[in-house]
Amino acid sequence: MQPSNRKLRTALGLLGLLFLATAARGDDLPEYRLKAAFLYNFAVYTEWPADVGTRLNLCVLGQDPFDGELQQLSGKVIGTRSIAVQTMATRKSITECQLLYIAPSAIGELPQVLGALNRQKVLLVTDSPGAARDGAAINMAVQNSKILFEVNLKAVQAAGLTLSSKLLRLAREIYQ
Amino acid sequence: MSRERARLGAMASQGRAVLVACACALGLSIPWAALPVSLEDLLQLPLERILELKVAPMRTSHTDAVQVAQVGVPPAVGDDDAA
Repeated sequence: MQPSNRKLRTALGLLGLLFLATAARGDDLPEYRLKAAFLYNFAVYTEWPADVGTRLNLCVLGQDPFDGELQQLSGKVIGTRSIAVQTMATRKSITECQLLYIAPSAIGELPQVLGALNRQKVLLVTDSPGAARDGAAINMAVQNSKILFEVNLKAVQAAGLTLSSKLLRLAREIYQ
Repeated sequence: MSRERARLGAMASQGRAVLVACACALGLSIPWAALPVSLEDLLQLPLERILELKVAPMRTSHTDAVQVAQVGVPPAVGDDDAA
């Protein structure tokens, strides 16, 4: 690489960092773009047992509210695992997921999903009121125009998963 | 084709970063609505920062929708079932 080219790239990199720093001050982002970023971070801060393999299936059960945003996570690598995003209309294959998000359109199926996932190594994520208390591992909510999340630690442990202390520290509520 | 599109996307992203940096340096306010932060941008931010970002009011969340439904409808006059 030529020195001038390298300088240009360094300058662009610094400008990019500046953009990200200022972006954090920005506001009014689409709800499900933010929630897609949350799902990615949940995957980053969750530890699955080694026998899960090298693929991290991120599944959406119900009508996909992400407007195609979630597909951008396909192929991203977290540790040794590569994300594969799948949308599921039925509960048939949910045990093949490592992270299962239940869309609001399918939240009525939560009891059946919990029954099907009994002690499976699946991180169950929702964004419906009361879902963490009802057995979802992580539930997102919007409060004062910001997204927060609550954790059901018992559900996480029953699935044989470990959440990082950082994620637990940032949770609004932890149900034991 | 997809490689070319990715290259163009990267160039656009770099150009956007330059514009934003110049605007910041000049003390200009940035119209975020016209300059959306992509999911890719968000993935570069730490979770603490993502928690601080605000949701656009246009797309009402399920939670807010429920709250609006609960508090936004006044009881009808003469409706015996109204709570």
